[in-house]
Amino acid sequence: MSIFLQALIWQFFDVPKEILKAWRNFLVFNLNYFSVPTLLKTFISPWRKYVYRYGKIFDIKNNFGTFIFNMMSRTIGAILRSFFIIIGLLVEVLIILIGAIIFLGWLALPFLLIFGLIFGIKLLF
Amino acid sequence: MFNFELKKTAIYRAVKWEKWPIFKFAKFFEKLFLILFVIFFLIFLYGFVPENFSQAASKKLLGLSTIFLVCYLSARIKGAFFNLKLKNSKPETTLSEVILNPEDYNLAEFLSFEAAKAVKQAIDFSRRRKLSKVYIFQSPFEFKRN
Repeated sequence: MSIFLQALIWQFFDVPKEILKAWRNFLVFNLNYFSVPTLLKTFISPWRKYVYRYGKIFDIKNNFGTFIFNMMSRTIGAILRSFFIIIGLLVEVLIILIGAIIFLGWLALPFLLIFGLIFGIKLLF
Repeated sequence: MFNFELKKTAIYRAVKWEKWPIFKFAKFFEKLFLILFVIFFLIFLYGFVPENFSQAASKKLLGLSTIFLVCYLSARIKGAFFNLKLKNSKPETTLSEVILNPEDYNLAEFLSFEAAKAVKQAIDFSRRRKLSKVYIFQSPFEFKRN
């Protein structure tokens, strides 16, 4: 295979494939770093497992208090988890944008270089 | 008998390509073009921002810095292509397959770039000295010294 053909394959197939792999790794890493899947699974679980046990069935007053406390614990848990989920998703969007710029930039690089050379020569003369 | 033909391998071509001026001086030109780009771009900024130079001079400086940036990036890509693609050509078969029937495969295909370079140097050394055997162990020491 000629060196020129090898260079073309490397530029437009090999390296983009590696960029896609690295991009996917960053996306998966970020999701795990912020524990997004785990936080979604346990989204309405009580905060730090702070819960009261319900009393006897006719102890309505205590059971109502327990219910309110447990609901608050779940609400606090959901609020704090959503905070981390949102940060994780924002970073995920950032990684998607940066990855897209790098991926498309790499594919467009040879054309940008040719354009840059023509632009530079035009400015000179 | 095993089959060992270095000249028929992709890695041998890479060893030969390494001597091409386009790859041989890629690192030097990369540094040179980067320095030139930085110098010309700084001069352009010095002239353009406070309007120290005429518009025509600024245009020429910007043109030169653009050309040097393009040259720098091209040299960098060339270097990466050589180091990542040409120097790391992988054989189509795995060693576990080859070990079953070594005589059916060209074992030289499994050499790394540095090893292929050493073997090539050993072959050249033996040819120069008109030796009947190839002194493969001679070359790595010479190679290390170089």
